[in-house]
Amino acid sequence: MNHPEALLTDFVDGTLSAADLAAVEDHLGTCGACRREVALARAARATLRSMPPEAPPAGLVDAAVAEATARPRATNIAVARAKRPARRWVAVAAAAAVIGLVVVASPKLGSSPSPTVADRSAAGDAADRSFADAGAVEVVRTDVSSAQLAYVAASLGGLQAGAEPAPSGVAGAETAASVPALQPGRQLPDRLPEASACLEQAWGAAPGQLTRVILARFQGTPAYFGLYAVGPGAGLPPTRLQLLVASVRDCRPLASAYALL
Amino acid sequence: MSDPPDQELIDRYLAGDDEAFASLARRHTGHVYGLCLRVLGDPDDAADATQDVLVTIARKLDSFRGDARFTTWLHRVATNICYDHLRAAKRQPVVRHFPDDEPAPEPGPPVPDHADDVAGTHDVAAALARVPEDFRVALVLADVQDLPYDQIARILDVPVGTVKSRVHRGRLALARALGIETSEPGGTAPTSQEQR
Repeated sequence: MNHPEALLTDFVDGTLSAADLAAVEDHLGTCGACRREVALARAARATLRSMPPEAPPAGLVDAAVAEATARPRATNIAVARAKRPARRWVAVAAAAAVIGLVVVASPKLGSSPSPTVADRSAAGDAADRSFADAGAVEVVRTDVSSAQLAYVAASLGGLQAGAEPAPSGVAGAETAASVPALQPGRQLPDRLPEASACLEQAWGAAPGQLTRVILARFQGTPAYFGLYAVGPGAGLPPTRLQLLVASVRDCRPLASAYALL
Repeated sequence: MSDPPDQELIDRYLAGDDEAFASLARRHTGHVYGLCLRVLGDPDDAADATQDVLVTIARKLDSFRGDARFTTWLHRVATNICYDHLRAAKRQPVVRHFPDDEPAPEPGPPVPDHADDVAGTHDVAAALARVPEDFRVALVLADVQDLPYDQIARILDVPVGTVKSRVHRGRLALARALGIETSEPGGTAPTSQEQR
């Protein structure tokens, strides 16, 4: 047997299988150099493992966390949208003729804002309503409340409602200025299959073409926000944008909203 | 209530909850600092490197994929940053390093195989600083961080056999730096080529 260096490591650790142990012990019986190495390695191992751990300096964690989490934040949707790079389909959707918004809270959520038509905008050219497939999970560092969901649905679709004042008579709705920033952050293409599957687990088969997936919080819970372009089928263009929200942790349905195109 | 798993804290952070990152950082800073301290050998360097690690993971958490354990990814980031610090400093760790023109102290009298009481922490740190870098990193991951060899292999992106070889050689180098002798008669080192 040659000097079994890799096995000596396990031998010193005491993790050899019975067969290897017998082989190594046979070798050690005839090899003084390996016996000496085992003795040295055991001593070094015991010495290192007897060293007490040393605590990091006080304040290190707080300083590092402060530096790590320092970043500029947008203050509202209007600001965020001004900074957002243009997407081809955003401009198309923004030209849609009539915008209607309905918020429907999931039955499991407990609270249920009244379904309400929220906004209408000037007519435009609605001929082209093609949407791009979602390419990545987009990280948006914000917390969306149930009352804000309608604005978020519209904003994600590039529609105007999110930047407009709250229409009168919308129960529980908040003004655009109070809706959290939707500044797009990092893109997670690898997370897209998992997010898509999670949304389907929560809500069943996709209602249409998945055009955006956002990772943000919904009422404090990390959630995927899936935005689907939904049409009547038969090659006809989509007529509404459906926003489905599912919890990241257990893929529960949390809430939904939609915006009519 | 049990502590939330790392992945939950990561998701919460990515979704805008900075306090979740603070929790994640508090949970792992001790390990990161321990790694950096034993690899770099100097508490100030270790604190700087630890801060670099935390800032780096905060910025790169979105690229962390759940198919690897978070601790593996964290240790990989930390190890790379330690290597960066070693390269940037262009020097060996400074804990009571013996200058090249000054001979190391003579080893003490031979001792048996148990060295637990031979050296104080500071002496061990000084000796560790004299272990070649690659061996030292593997050794710290194994015998300070107490990570299994297959995880160390993933952290360093080398085969498990290479990890074991580096750990063994690191232990021998440390024993020699500590001046440990054994009752075994001396012999030629059995191998000289790192296993690949």
